[in-house]
Amino acid sequence: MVESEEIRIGVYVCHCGLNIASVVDINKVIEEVSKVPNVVVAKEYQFMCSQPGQNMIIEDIKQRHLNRVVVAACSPRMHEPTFQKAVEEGGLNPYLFEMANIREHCSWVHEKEKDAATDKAIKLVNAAIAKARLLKPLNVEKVKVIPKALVIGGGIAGIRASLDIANAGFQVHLVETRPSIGGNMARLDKTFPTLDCSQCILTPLMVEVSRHPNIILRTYTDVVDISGSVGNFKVKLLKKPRYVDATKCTGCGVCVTKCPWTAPSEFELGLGKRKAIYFEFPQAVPLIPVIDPEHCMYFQKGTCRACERFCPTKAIDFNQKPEEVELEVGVIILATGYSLYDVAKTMPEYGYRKYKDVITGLELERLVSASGPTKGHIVRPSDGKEPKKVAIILCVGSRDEKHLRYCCRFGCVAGIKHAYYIVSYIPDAEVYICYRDIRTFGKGYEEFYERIRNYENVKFIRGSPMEILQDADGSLYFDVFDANTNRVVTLRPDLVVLETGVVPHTTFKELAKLLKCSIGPDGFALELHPKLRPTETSVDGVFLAGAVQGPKDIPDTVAQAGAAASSAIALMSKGYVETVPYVASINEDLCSGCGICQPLCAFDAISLVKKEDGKQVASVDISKCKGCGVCAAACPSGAAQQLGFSDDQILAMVRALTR
Amino acid sequence: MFILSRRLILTFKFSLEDTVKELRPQLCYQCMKCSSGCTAAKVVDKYRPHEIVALVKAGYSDELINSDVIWACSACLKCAEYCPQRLSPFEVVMALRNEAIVRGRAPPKSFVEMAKSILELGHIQKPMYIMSKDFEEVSRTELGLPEMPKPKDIEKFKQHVLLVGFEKLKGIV
Repeated sequence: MVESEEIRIGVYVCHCGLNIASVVDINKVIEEVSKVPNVVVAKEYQFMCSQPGQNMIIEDIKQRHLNRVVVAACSPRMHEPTFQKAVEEGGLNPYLFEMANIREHCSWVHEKEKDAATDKAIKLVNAAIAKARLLKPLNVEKVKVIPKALVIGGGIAGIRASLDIANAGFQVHLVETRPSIGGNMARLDKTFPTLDCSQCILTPLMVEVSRHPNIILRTYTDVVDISGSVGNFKVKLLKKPRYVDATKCTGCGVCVTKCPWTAPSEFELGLGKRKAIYFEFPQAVPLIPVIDPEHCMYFQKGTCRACERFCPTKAIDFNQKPEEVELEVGVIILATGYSLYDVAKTMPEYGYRKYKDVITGLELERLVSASGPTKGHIVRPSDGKEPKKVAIILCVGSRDEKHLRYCCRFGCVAGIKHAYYIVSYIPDAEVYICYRDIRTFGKGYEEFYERIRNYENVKFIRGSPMEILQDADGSLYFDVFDANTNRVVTLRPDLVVLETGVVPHTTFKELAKLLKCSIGPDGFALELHPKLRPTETSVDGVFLAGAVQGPKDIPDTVAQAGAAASSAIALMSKGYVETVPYVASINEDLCSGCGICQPLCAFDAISLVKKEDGKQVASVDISKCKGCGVCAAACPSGAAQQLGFSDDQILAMVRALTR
Repeated sequence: MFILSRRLILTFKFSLEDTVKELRPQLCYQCMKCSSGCTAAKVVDKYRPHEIVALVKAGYSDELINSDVIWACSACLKCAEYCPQRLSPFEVVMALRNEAIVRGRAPPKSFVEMAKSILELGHIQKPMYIMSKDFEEVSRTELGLPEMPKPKDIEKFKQHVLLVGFEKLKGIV
C-alpha cells in the first residue's frame, strides 16, 4: 500500500440481536458516521459475526475498494479474530481493521439511558474510524514449535496428559517434586461413585508412564526457572539428590528394612512412620528409595551407613549433589494439583491436630487403605480402638467467606464414600454426616448418594456444628442443629472426619510467578475463558490440567488433562505459531539510549545494544515481547511505540472522543 | 471483637432497613452453624438465630419485632465469629430489638427491670437476684451467694447511660 493512497473506510454496525439494538439507535449511528470523512460505506446488520455479515465485509472490500474496515459490535476479545479473518479474505492486511466495542462498553452498561448510549456509541465508532485512518499493515511471523512437552506435576492429571502426548508421538518430560509419581490419587483407597480401587486404576498408568519410550520421567525434581515463550521455552530443573544411584538400584528394599531410623511419613500424612531411607509408598514409580538427610544418622552424626553396607548393588551414594538440568520445550502443561486447606491453623474450633480423633478425609483414606499405616483397619488414632460412632463434617473451610469462598467439588461425595467405608468395615457402627447442602452433581453421584442413604446406620444431619469440644474424660462431643428435625442434636462421636477444603498446591504460586501466568482471586490458575477455553492460560503455550485450575474430582481432572494434552499436541503437530504483531518497536533515530525502558520490561524483552556508529539504542526481542506497552508509555522521546497502538493512533482516538 | 465495632455502631444509629442492608442476611445459606453453637438456643428452645435471619430475609421482620424471641440472645457473639458468610445473626437481632424499642414496643418485663437496675444501681440486675432461663428472679441468698457491693457515683453513671437514648425503653422513665 502506498502512503498517499486514498483512505476508504467501511463501517459496519452490529445489532447483536437485541443486545445492542434494544438500547442503541443503530440507524442514528449509521446516519452520523456516514457523514464522517473517508467513510465510504456504513451498514448495519443483525449479526455481523455470522456468515452473511462477514460476506458483506468481503464483498464491500472487493467492490467498493475499501482499504480500512471498522466493525462496531462486541468486545474485540470476542470477535476481533473473526473479522480480521474476513478482512484478510477480502484481500486486505488483517491489521487494517479496527473494532469499536458498543456492547460491553455501551449497550450493556447503559441499558436505562438510551439516548446517551446512542451518543456514546457514535463517539466510540468515530474514535475507531479516527484510528483506522492511521492503521498500518502489520506482519505476522511464524515461530517454530519445539516438538517436546514439559508436564509439571505427576498426579493423575500429569500422568494422563503425559501419556496422551506421548502416545501422539511427542517427547514428554514429566517433572514431579516428590520421589514418586501418583499424587493425591495414590493416597485414596476407593474412588467414587463406582468404588473401584484407586491403586488398581492408577498404578498401571504409573507403570505405563515409566515404560513409555516417549516419556522422560523426572521425579524428585523441582522447576527452578522458565524463560522464553510459546514454541521455545527454556526450563531449568533442579534434580534433588536421592543419595541412591538410580542406575544401580533394583528397588529390592533391603536398605529400607535395615535402616534403624524413622520419621513421620509424608505420604501417610503423619499417620504412619517411614525410615530415613524410604520408598514414597510400596507401589512407588520409580521404585527407587530416597535418603532424607534430616533423619539419616550418617548425615546428622557421620555414623551408621547400614543401608550402604547391606545394599547388594552398591547403589547408595552419600556424595550425590543437586543436579541442574536444562531443557528446551515447545509447550508446558501445569498439573500441580491441590493441597488440603490447613484447618489446624485456620479453624481451631474444630480441634484438628489438637484432638487426635479429629482427622481429615484424606487421612481416613490412609486408614482404610490396605497398604496404609493400619493395614486397612479403621481405628481411632488416640487409642487404636475401632470407632463405633463416627461424625463426618462437610464443608470444613469451603464455601466460607472467612476461609475459602469456593466449593471443593468433591467433599460431599467423598464424605458419603467415607460413610460407606465405615459401615462396610464396621457394620455395627453409626455414621452421622453433617451437611449444609449435598452436591452430587457428577455422573452416577446421585445414585451413589441414594445407595448410601439406604443404610440404616448412616444418618444425614442438615446442619454444621460450630465447634468440637472435649469432655473431662477426653471424649469428643458437639452440638449440631438439625434443620430436618428442627432440633439441636448432641453427638458424642469416637471419630470425627473433616471433609476439608482444598487450595492450590504449595508449589503453584512460585511456578505461576516464573511463567507469569494469571492467578484467579481464589489462588488457582486462571483459565483464558471459563467456558470456551478452560485449559488455556494467559501465557500462550501453557495449558492447565486438573486441580491447578480449580478443585476437581478425578473424572473432571482426567477429562481436562486430555483436553490440555490435545491442545499441546495441536500446537506441536502444526509445528509453528503465529506471533501477535502488537509488539514494541524502537525508532532508533529517536532513541537516546537512556535505558529507562529496559528495567521496566517485565518480560526481559528489551536490551541495550551499541550500533556500528557507537550509538547506544534499545532493542526489542519480539519473541519475548508481550505487547504490554509499558516501554512505550515510559519512553521520554516517543522512540518506543507499540505497533497497532502507537501514540498518534491513540491520540487520534482521544481527539475523536473529546470532540 | 474484631470486625464488629464499625457495624455495631451502625446497629445503634440507623434504622432496621439500613442495618439489614448492611448486614446482608440474604447471603445466609442456612448452614445452621449459628443455631448449632448458640448459647441462648441451648436454654431457649424457640430461639434459633438461623431462623431469625431467614425470617428477616423473607420479610417477616414485623413478626419478629412483636415477638419475645428476639430478646433471648445473650450476646456471646459466637454466631458473628463463625458465620461463613460474614453476616452476624447477633447484629440482626440487635437491629430488631432497636426497632422494637423505636416502635414503642415494651421488651419483656425482665429487660425493663434490667434497664432500671442499670440506671439505679449500675448493675444489669438487682444485686440480690439472679435471672433464670424463664426470666424469673431467684434470690441470691436462696442460692447461697454472697451480697454484691454497691456502685459509688450512680448519678454520674446514669447521665452517661441516658446519652445513648436509654429513656426510649418503654416503662423505664
